Amino acid sequence: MAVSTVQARTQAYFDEHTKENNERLRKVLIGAAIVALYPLLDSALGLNLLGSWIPIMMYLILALGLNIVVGYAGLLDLGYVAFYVIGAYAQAFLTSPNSVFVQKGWVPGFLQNFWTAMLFSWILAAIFGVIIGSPTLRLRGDYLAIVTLGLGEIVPDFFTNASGITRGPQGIGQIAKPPTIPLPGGNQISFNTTDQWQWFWLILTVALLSLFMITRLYDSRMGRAWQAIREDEIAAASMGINPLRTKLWAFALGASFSGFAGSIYAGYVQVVYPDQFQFSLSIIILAMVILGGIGNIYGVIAGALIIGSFDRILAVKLTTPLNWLGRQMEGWPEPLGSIGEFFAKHSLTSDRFLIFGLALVLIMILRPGGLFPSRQRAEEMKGDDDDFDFDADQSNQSLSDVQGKEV
Amino acid sequence: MQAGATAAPTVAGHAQDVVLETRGLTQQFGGLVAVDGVDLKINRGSITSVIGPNGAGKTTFFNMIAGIYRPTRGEILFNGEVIVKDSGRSMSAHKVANIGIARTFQNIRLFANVSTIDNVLMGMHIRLTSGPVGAMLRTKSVREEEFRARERAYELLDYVGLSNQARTTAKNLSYGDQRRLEIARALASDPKLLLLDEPTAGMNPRETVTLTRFIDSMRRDLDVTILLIEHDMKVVMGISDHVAVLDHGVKIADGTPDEVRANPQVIEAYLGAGSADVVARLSGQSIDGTTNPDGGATAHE
Repeated sequence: MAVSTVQARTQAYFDEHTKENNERLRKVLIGAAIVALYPLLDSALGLNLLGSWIPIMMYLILALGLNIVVGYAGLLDLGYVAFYVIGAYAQAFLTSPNSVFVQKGWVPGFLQNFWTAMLFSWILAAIFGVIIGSPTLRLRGDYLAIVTLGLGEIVPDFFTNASGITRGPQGIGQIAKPPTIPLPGGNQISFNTTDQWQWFWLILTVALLSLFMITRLYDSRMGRAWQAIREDEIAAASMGINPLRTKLWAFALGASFSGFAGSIYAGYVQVVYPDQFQFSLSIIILAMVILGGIGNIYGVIAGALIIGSFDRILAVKLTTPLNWLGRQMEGWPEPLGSIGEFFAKHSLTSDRFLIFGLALVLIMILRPGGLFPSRQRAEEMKGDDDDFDFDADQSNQSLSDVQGKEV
Repeated sequence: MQAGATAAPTVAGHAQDVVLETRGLTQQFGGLVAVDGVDLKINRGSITSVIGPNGAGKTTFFNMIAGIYRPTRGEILFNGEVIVKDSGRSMSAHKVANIGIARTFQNIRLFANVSTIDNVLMGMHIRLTSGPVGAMLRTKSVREEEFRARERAYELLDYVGLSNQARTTAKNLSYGDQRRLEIARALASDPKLLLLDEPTAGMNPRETVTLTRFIDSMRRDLDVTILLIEHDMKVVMGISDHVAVLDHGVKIADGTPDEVRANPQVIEAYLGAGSADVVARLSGQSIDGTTNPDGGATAHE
């Protein structure tokens, strides 16, 4: 009797859960179908923005990956770009005829293909996530942020200075693109730099695939372990969750999506050089995650689209009306006249960081959980910490703090 | 309470096996010796309590068993196996949980912002096996495991009386329910030994009685041994088979509740030096009834 009610309730819970998931999947697929039609719209209206949307989608994949590390596991990673560099250079080393590794014949033929190299870069980034993560993840909070900040600088610097293999600032060109797919009837799908439709669809597919994998990960034993660690590390460890291993998984999986994006990017732009990967990229991606809603993957998508479109499209497009406004203000009473003069010549693209910064400050004041906070964060923001007698000092303590060096 | 009375002879009568044993367990924090050479044996299926005034070292003792602190000296044996060697490495907290020791916290440490059932599922972590790849592919075995996990979670919530609040966020539960959820979360890992750190702290007398009864019933319903830490004598005396008393980090008494209650050293630790004589003079022969009128009251409730 009791067992059957338990079973019935579990079934009901499961059914509801499945229904929610299917509903969400349907919405995502409809959204993706609309996005997939965008290139047609773009060419019909003569917008010519496809070249900007491709990097925005790339940012989106990066933000999805960083959300695992920052949003799910609660590890502040300020050097996320490091894995993007590793992914991009891995693709270059494996497939470019200029790469030392290819020239010495160390790369087996099958790995010189775009697709296999992409898969390899994906896994390689995850491995580097483990290598870099295992010493650093013993640190907590602010210390981890500082160390990852350093790594985000060291890795691109390494590629600049190890010119013997990376050809230094000059970079590596002629990176493989996806092989042309012949279609029946003489048509073909090719991936030249000018074939922006194909690239757009390819990156959209990869973004969808990433979204699919990450949502499933979150709704699993691993996802629950991440949430537990983020909530209270000591309690999680007392439940048998290995804190270091759980964090490493988050770090490695987050890194893998960064590597994924890096390798596609390298294939798209055909050349990698260290200046492409600046520290500011780590911060832009982090800003997307925070603005959209840390831990809520749909919020992160919104954040990536908002910041990405501003960075790549709006900053340029809004400069024209600003200049126009400036010209109209000519001859106005004095303070306004000078401002108009400034507006007439000013380009908004140089204000990108100012505007990101302002947006973040505003969000932190008005909606500290982000535009679309995750359920868990929204609960956290509600506070009510007085009736949940939770000693703030203790809950921020990590296990290794109490134990000394023992982990 | 009759359960305490019937269980006590069993412990004394049978040569029961020992689940957990500490040998000379010592913890020093700088110059302060928080726990000093404590020997304790916990019999399988029993409720053993460690009591003592505030600052006696109870929680420190507990944290050494749970793998949070590394003992300065001493050994811990679980099911006859040495899990912490004398002045060796301690076993980390997650490994302690893995071998079958679960715990609750004195100041509740739930995963406050997730739902009640998710708290239990997080407690079940080590009893589940699916990895990240399985989770991404969501294979049949993963789906089945997730279903069974939720079934078990509902069973546990039913057992502690929280199944109607399965989807409530943990921090919105009432204080007493949060305590119960902590116990359900600990039970989710199928422990052999359950460590309860002052489970009635902050509760009103009625909640205390209900929870005390619940702890007593757990021993009957589940195959679990319980180590209880309390400073409230009333809670302990009714349900414990075995009581150890700590004072200033030293074990000053060890035995059945009645033996401990009559121990002059215990009375002094609780009421101050010299009080044992006073109590003895006032009460004539029956130290028991006079020192612990409350204990008697609880037993009859």
